[in-house]
Amino acid sequence: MIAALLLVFLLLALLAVRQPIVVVLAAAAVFCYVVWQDGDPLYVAYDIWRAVNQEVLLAIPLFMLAGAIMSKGSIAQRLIDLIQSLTRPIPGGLAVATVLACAGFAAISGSSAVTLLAVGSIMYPALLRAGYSKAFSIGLICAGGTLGIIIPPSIPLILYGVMTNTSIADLFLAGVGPGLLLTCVFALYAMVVNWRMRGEVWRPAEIAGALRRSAAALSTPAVILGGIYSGVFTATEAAAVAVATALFVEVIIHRDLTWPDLWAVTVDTSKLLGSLFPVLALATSINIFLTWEQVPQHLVALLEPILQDRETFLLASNALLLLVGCFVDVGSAILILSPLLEPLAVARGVDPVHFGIVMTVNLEIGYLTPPMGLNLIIAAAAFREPFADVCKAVIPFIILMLAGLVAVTFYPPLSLLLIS
Amino acid sequence: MMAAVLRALSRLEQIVCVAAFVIMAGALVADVGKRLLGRFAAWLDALPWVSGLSDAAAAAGLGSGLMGAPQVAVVGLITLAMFGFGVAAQHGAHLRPRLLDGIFPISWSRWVNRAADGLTAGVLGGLAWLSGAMAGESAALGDVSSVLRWPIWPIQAAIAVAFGLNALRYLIFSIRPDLRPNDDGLSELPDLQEASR
Repeated sequence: MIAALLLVFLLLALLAVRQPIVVVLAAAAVFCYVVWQDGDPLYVAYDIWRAVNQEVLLAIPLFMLAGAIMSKGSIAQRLIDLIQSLTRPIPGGLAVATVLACAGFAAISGSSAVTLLAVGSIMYPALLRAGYSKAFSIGLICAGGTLGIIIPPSIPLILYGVMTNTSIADLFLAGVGPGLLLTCVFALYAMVVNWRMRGEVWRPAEIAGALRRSAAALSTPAVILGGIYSGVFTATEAAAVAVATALFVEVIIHRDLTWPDLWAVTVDTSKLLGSLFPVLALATSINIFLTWEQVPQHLVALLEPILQDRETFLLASNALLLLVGCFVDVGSAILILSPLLEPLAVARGVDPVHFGIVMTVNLEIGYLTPPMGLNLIIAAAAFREPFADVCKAVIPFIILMLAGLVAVTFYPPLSLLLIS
Repeated sequence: MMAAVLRALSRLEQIVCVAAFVIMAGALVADVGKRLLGRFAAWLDALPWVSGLSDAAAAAGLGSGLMGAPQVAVVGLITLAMFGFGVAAQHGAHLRPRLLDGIFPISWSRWVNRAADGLTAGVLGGLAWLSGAMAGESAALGDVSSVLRWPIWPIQAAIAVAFGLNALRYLIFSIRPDLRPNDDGLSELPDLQEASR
């Protein structure tokens, strides 16, 4: 008991002296091994080795690199041109185009922040010029950006799969339904709110031109997802194919990417990975320790009388994850919480794939909730708007996402239909 | 002098990361490509006017994956993960919970940050030492990787080197706080408000 209190004190002290999460986790892992195991901190080094020495992790850097290559090129602009040409007759068509562009770009980039910036940099000025309110435009782009982590390929879903030994291909497939649901909900809301923005007529020549210019861009998600689900390659191999396809499209077909661009994109992706992988390695170390000490099993037994049925457990998990999402980034939250919560979920009859989607949608909402919502912070900085105004702008979208979360949580076929 | 050391360190880490990406993607694409070429040959062989192509492909070793390619890619991954740590540190991109940032007065920030960097250097130095000890044990035991049969200690030593270099980096940040990057990660964002005007 005293040791546990000491651990909590140590972690709080490290947070107070502004330590990065990797240092906090390293200290926690060493403390656990020294106090509760046989006192040898060398196990932490072996855990780090075991964590990074896994083939399945190869998918993460390669999908991130493919997304970054495509974000740097003109794919976002080409995709937006196509969607804009298709949504012209719809009331609030430009807003609907923004949502669809976010969803389409998310399927390529797999990242919320990248989606927000890539689509936002083009659509935000266009929305303001077309007469959409500033608050609506910011809220829409922030919310649309979050689709990046649920629509496959998704890095958080890969992390969940790695930490809980769940099939990544199944998780990707399960993300399609909730991703489409949220896309439709956002698009419908955009139409209803902007009903007065009457549409224009379709211009077939414009559609044909946009389709021709974006054909290569559209082929990329088709190759990746088609390849995985036809059994031609695994999710890891698909990530390598995604990089090759992205390079082929941007360097050879579109000719938008120069070698210096490619260098910069690769270094930038290394930066993201350098902040993610050490956290993953040390979270794995703590996870190995917890498993060794049978902590998840004890937790299941402890919570058995409180969270007896499936629905109560899911409600409690949602409340916890929404709260966590306000303070912790999605990657860290999944790395730390998924090994603890997934056994609890499975013990109550929740499908592990379904629970992965529930976790991800909860943490997706965390992108929009203060004080640490990443999309809020990015939007406030990129749109040069007060943080409080950005927070107000996303409120309607948070309500829509909560409604979506209820559907995803209590209607598992939404996630599992494609798998079964 | 210290600024020059950081610049050189940063450049070295960037080169290693880019090379690691090339190795990872190259190995896996070669692996998939070799397999798909074999399948493609078999598919062509099914056409009435083509014959013997799949036999030729099989003789050329196509149709199966490239032996050891995923393991080579994993070596690239480990190198990337560890040297990317330094690239992230140089850009102030490490994830840091800010829950308790307000505990110290703002006027203390400079000194708190210096102490924080010193502490980070110490912890990373400790991790470097542990990783070095692990590499030493593996070398002594003659541990080799499962498919390639390569000794694993050099790869484990790369982990120790990466942690050690970052301990040095944070020590420099602690001594010369003017070289420390802003860690809010927002200074590199584009100005979308400006774009809308």
